[in-house]
Amino acid sequence: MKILAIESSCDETATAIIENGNKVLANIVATQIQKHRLFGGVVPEIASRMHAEKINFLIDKALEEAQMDLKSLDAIAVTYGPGLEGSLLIGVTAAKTLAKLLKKPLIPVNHLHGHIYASFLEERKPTFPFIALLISGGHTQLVLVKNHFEMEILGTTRDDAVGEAFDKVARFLDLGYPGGPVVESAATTGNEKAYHFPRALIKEKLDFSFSGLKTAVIQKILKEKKEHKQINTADVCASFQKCVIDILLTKSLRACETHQVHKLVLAGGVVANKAIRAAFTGMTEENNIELFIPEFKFCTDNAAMIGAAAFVHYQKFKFKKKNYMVKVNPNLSVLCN
Amino acid sequence: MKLNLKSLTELEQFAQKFAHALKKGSCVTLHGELGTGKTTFIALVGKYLNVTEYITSPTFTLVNKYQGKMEIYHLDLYRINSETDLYNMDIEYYFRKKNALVFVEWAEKLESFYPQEYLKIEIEFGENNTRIFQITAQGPKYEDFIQRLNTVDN
Repeated sequence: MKILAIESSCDETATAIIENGNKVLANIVATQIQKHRLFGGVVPEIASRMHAEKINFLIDKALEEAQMDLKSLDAIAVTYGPGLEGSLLIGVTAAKTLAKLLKKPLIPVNHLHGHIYASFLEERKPTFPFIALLISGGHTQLVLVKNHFEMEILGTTRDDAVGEAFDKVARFLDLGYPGGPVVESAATTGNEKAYHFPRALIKEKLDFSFSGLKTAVIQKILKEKKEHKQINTADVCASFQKCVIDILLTKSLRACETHQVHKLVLAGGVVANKAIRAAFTGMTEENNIELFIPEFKFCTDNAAMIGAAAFVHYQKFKFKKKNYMVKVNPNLSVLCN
Repeated sequence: MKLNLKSLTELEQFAQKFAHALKKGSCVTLHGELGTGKTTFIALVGKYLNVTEYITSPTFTLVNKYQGKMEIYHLDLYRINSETDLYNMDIEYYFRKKNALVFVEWAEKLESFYPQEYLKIEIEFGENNTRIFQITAQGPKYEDFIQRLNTVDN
C-alpha cells in the first residue's frame, strides 16, 4: 500500500510517499527557516502563504523521487491538527482535493501521533506498551501508549513547552532562530556547572514546568549585566540545557518505573538535540530500559512520520466509506484519533 | 494603581481579588519583558475563575480558549510581527465577544487594533525578584473596575 502524506501544521511544508508503513519512497521537507530567520520567529500568516506556494511543487517532487504517478497511489494522508489553523488548512485542502479526484481514501492524522510513529520507520520497532516522551516547540508530554492509537497522558507541562524555553532563551541571548540548534551549538563549548538553575517540579510526579527556568535564566543575565559582569553565553546555554536534560531524564525514568514499562520512545523536534539523545542513551542503558529514537530527519516535522501513522491507522480503523469531511483542529489532543 | 508584589503568594492573593472584581466582556492587556510573569498571572486569575485545566503559554498556538465561570480567551502576540498578521488572525473577533473575558499578552503589538476600552497591566522586575504591577484604566468602564478592586482591598 502506497500512501502520499502531507504535513503543514507549523513551520514545515512536507510531503512523503510511504509503502506499507515503513518503506520511505520519498521524503521532502521545504525548510522555511530562511524566511523566518528575518523575523526571529514563526509568523503564522507568512507560514500559511509559504505552504500554499510550495505544496503543489512538493507533491510533484515526492512523486518524482518515488518514480510513480498519482494514479498508483492507494491513499492520501494529511495532518489535521494540532497546529496553526491557516497552515493546517493548506495541507488539508490539498489532500482533500487529491483524494476526491483520485477517488482514494483520505486518512486524517494527528500530528502528535506522527511524532510517536516516527520510531516505526526504523528497522527496530517499539512493541507495546511503551512510554513516549513528546517534546517540541508546542508540546511537552509523557504518554503511555498501550496499543496502536490507545494512549493515556501521564504528565504534561503546566506552562511552557521545552522547545519554547529554548526559543525564548535564545532570543534573550540574541542567538537567533530557531532556538534549539543555536543553544545546543553554543552549549558545546560551555561549562554546564557554571550556573545552577532551578529544576521545577522535579519532586512532583510527572508534570513539567519550564516557565520558571526561562525566568531564572533571564534574571541571571539581567543581574550579571547590572553588575557589569561579562556574560558567558556558552556557559549559560550549557547550564540551561543541562537543567532541561535533568528534568526530562528524571520524569521519563519515573514514568517507566511507576508504570512498570521498560520501553521508552522519544518523539518531537527537540529530540534532534544531540546532547539530549546522548543523555537518554546513557540513562536507559543504566536502567535497563529499551530506548527508541527516530533518525534526525524524522524528529523535526516531516511527512514520512505522518505516512507511518496513517498506514497503521488505516489498518486498524478500516475506512468503510471514503470520507472527505476532514476538518482541521488546531487544539487536537494526543488522545484523539 | 501601583503594586509591588514580593512573592508568588502575594501574586496569588492579588490574582484572587482581581478575578473577583472582573466582569464579563472585559479585555485585559499585559505588557512586560520575558519572564515577568504575564502567563503566570493569567493562570492564577483563571484558577479563581474556576478553570480546572492548566492555563499554558499560547506562544505557539497564538490563542487558547478556556471555560471557567465564563469563557476566557488567552491571546499571545509574541510571534506577531505586523498589523497584517493581526488582521489575518481576525483579532477583532475576540474583542467583540460580549460574554467572554479576553487577555492579551505582548499587547503593545496591537497598534491600531487596540479595543476602545481596556485595562492595561504593565509588569516590571523589581528588586530581589519582586514584580511591580502598574494598572491603568483605559476608558470609564475600567475606572470603575479599579475602584471595585480598591474596595475589595479595604
